[in-house]
Amino acid sequence: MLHLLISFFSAFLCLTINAQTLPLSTGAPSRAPASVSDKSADHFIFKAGTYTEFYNQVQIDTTGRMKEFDRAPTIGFGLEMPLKNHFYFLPEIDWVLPRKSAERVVKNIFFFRADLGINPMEWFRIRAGTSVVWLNQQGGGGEETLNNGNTTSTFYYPIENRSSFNNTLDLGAELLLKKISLRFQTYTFAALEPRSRQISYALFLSYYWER
Amino acid sequence: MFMKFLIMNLLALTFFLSEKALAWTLNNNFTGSFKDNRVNVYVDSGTVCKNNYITPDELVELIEPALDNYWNKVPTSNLRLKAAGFSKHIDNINNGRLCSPTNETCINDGIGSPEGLIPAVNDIVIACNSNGVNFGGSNVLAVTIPNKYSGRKIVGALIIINEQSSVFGGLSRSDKIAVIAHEIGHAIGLGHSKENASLMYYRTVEQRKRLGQDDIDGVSFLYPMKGDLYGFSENGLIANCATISTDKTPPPGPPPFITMLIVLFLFVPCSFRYGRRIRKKDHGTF
Repeated sequence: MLHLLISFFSAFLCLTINAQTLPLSTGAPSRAPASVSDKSADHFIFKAGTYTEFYNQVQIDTTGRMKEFDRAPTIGFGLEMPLKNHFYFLPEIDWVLPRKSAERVVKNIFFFRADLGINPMEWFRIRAGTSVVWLNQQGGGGEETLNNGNTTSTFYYPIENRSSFNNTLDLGAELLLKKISLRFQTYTFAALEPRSRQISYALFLSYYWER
Repeated sequence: MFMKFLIMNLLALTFFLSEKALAWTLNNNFTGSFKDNRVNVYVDSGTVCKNNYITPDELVELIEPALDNYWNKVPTSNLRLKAAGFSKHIDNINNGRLCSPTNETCINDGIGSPEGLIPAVNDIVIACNSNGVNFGGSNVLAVTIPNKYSGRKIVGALIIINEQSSVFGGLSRSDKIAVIAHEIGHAIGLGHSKENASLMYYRTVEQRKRLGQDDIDGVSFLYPMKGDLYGFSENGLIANCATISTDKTPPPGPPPFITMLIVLFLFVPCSFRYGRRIRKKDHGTF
């Protein structure tokens, strides 16, 4: 049911975007999209950054230290579509790249995202939206002898391709510096389930390319 | 400007890509996992853990934190383990031989031995066991073997704590919880990890608080989340309410592709339509 609501909401946004740019049949002047500056009227967004999965919930050493920052490289592409009153519709696709030496199990994460953004100031944007997160792991197969109790045993690497899908609720803040922006983006997994709720975040450097 | 941006980012990515990769493993040479993503974890009602100075009730109390601090915290996995209290007492569980269903030598030895063979179980059952052959040393804390399969799917797994020594009983409560969680990792199909930050590392470490990245990736692979809706459908506001339903089959999650297709649908055609109109406006057609 919620999926349907999301689809209706998205369709509404889509219609809103198109309705704003349609000429009126009466010949009245169409309303230009509200934007804080001319440069943000219509942009492609190219970005790169880092992604940290499950902030402060992944152990990284034997002393119990948790992962607060990860250098997982992430690239993305998006669009900036002005709506009314300093609001923007911001769909995008992001890809957390697999690690170079991941020979056994290659892990890719893709984000299919849509944000509603507002610019309270010309240089600052707040984003709220949702993502479908596609986690894909491709096992290369093989085996390895590892310690097991007082001896060693053979353990195996998978030889399948499997995917996991999640919906996340997202919040972000962005500093807009001419054609470049710096962005902090959070993704809340299992937002309605306290036991498994986790927050991931990304830091992005974006380039706004004006068409 | 754009080229500078690209070059800068490519250089940065080259640096980032040098990060070391992690690699989790499987118990078997096939992807064995429980068929159902709702698995109960029991303590055998007749188990005896005298050497480890722990009562069955205390053992039961260790299970819930072992599940909720570790395996149930992964939103990208739909596996939900439940501490289900005591199971019916299983014959020979306190001193019998524990064998993999494919290890015929072990099974024949077990059947022929005075202690006998521990029979196959359903779900996950934890007990103490004093048969030294199962452990291969007094410093081995516990052993886990999925001992009931249906095809490539695990039906049941048995975790036995070493009663030949009192090492387990001498651990702190948090270490006992971590040991139980590690063994549950084997029960659900995972093998060891080379990384000492991972729960599935072969030995205890100074401080174990959460899963490592390997563990998270492994359980997400074995039990992938097939489209939760912000934690609602799969993880279960409904399923948490155990008094309503005892049905182990979770409600089917909505297909995530719908949302994905919507985003793609919006992303491509909306942008083109919008772009076309902007261009028209630029040419004075408005």
